[in-house]
Amino acid sequence: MSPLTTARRSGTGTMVLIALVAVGMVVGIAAIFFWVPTANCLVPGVADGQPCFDARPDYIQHIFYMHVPIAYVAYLAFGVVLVGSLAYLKTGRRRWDILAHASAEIGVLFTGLCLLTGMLWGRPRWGTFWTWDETLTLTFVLFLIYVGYLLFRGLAADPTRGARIAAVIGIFGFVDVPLVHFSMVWWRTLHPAEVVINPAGPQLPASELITMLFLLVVYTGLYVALMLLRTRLGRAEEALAEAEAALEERPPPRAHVAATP
Amino acid sequence: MIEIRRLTRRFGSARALSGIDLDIPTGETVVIFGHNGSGKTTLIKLIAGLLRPTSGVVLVDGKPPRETRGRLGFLGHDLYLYPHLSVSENLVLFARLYDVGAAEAAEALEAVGMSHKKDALVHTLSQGEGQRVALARAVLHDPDLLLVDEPFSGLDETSAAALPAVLKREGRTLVVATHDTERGKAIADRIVVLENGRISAA
Amino acid sequence: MRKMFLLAAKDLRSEARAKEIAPPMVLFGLILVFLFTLNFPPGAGQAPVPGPVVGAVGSRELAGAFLWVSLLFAGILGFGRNASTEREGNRIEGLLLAPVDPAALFAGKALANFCYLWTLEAVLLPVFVLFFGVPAGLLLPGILLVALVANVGLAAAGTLFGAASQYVRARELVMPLLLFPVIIPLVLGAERLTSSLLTGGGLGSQSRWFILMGAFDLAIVAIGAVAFEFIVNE
Repeated sequence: MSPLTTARRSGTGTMVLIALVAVGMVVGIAAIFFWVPTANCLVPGVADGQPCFDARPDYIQHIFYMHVPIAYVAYLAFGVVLVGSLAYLKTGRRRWDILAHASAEIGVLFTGLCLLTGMLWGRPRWGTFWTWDETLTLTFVLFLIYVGYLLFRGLAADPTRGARIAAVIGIFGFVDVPLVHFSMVWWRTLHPAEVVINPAGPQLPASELITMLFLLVVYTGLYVALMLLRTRLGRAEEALAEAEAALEERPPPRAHVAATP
Repeated sequence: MIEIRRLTRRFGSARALSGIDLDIPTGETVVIFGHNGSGKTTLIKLIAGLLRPTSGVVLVDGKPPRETRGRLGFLGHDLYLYPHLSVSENLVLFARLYDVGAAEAAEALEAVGMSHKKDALVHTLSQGEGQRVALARAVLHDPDLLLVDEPFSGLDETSAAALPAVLKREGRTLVVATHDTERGKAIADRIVVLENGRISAA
Repeated sequence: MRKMFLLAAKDLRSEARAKEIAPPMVLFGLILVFLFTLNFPPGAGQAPVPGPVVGAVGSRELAGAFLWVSLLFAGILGFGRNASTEREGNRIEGLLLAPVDPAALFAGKALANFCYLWTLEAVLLPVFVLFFGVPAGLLLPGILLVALVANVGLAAAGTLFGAASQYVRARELVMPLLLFPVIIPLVLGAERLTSSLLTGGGLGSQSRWFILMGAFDLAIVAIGAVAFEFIVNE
């Protein structure tokens, strides 16, 4: 089978996935606006159906249905960077590096979105866009670490060595996350506790839980779709470089033959 | 001793070596001729394990070069000497790294005729002197395989004439890359000519 | 591991003659400490015994942060120089050709960085104590312990990321960008512990930071030793 057919076939799968994600996203957004009860906040200790801190309807709380899956995808993406980096150093196979690189880009994107949605929530809720809360700071540090990773890749003088060193950075970056996390927790914290994952069982009402879990699935699908697209681009870049090298290989065209009268 | 199969090395999209096949038996002196940019340095560095092949293999005694590096000597364009250490401090450091003693370092220095400069700091040496100290660095552990890249450049007549005695030894495989046809031919058991990353004559 | 000491001794002996790493580092550190102290109101922090300073709340708190930020900024100059001595003239190739474990190359370089950090601190800490009028005897044992734990991790991280940034364009810019975010746990820990010492809190109540810093040291040393060959080998 020619590489082109393979690409086309995998392209069909990707398109189907993208369509599913799009539909899922619409359904999810509809659920957020029309199904889950408003004024039911995710802060523990507040009675079901009660507004959080004041009597106004608490629409802003709904951003959590986006914020949480985005944060989860960011972590998932950086986990994949770790796995891809380890596998690349172990095997030296280019596709692992392409995987890690793609996942780092998507991870940075989602970390950025996570910070953004968090800030949109923080402004009305905490009265400020930004505060040096531990989770915010941790997310910000993660963002910096992986932006550094991408920057490094962009500036590497030799792509192969750059990929290998980037893998080392990707590994240490991830190992560093729990350390940064604890340093931030001990430093200070304001962040709402996780409610969905709780040893005492979910405390959210069914409609909210289902919406949240549904969106987690949709966002995972989005991540996979983006990964498929980005790794395909990575392989295409690779193939292009190969082709250029092969072209260089071939003897130069006999221009002088044509030039002879 | 050295087996090279379908060896190709690219730098970005530029090809430095294209599908080289070469066998060098133990104890042979092979001289590689070629113009600048013909791939000599790349080939030498690939045999030393300083570069990785893009494709193909290099084996030294049946193993990847990095695994036999203790028995390999290398002299390239760079001296690999520390400018603020003296000649003997540099050589003793490398002697220890190669698990031999200070006596071997002194011996190697004697062989290249630089004993009188042993306490001089490397950055005060002339280019030719530095080159000779680097040669001592490359041979102080008495390697079984010696790879040298352009050893004659920068040396005066006397030093260049004394060079083969230092490089050659019974049973040592020697690979010399040079564009100095005359001096190269004088030491060669076999000659390989590289042109545009391919062997054009052997 | 004998070779690790050989390699570190090579760097230190070379530096003892060339004096191109430690003096600029120390001078830069002094300038930074001076710049930071300019921001304190006159007399702030000059209380004869450690304890919260009335009227200049937080200046003792901040002092710990300033000390470690100064050390870090000055330290990074040294890490970069130390890494580039092997890059210049491709000297790293000479070391790679020798039968030396890449982990020993890493450890040798890290040991040299470790020594540079102590040199820096040997000058900066007394100056710092002087500026803040804290009786040195009260502070010294504690701060040496904090510095020891911090220096291990800083030296190792500086070596790893120093080597990594040798292979990119704009290397002196890239190194801090890579290094600073990852060493946050270490620097935050050192800074918290120092502040606790300065405000009379002692180290006992903050001992969990030592665990965190120790974990960081362990992680960076282990990863550095294993991964160094992926960085320096072609």
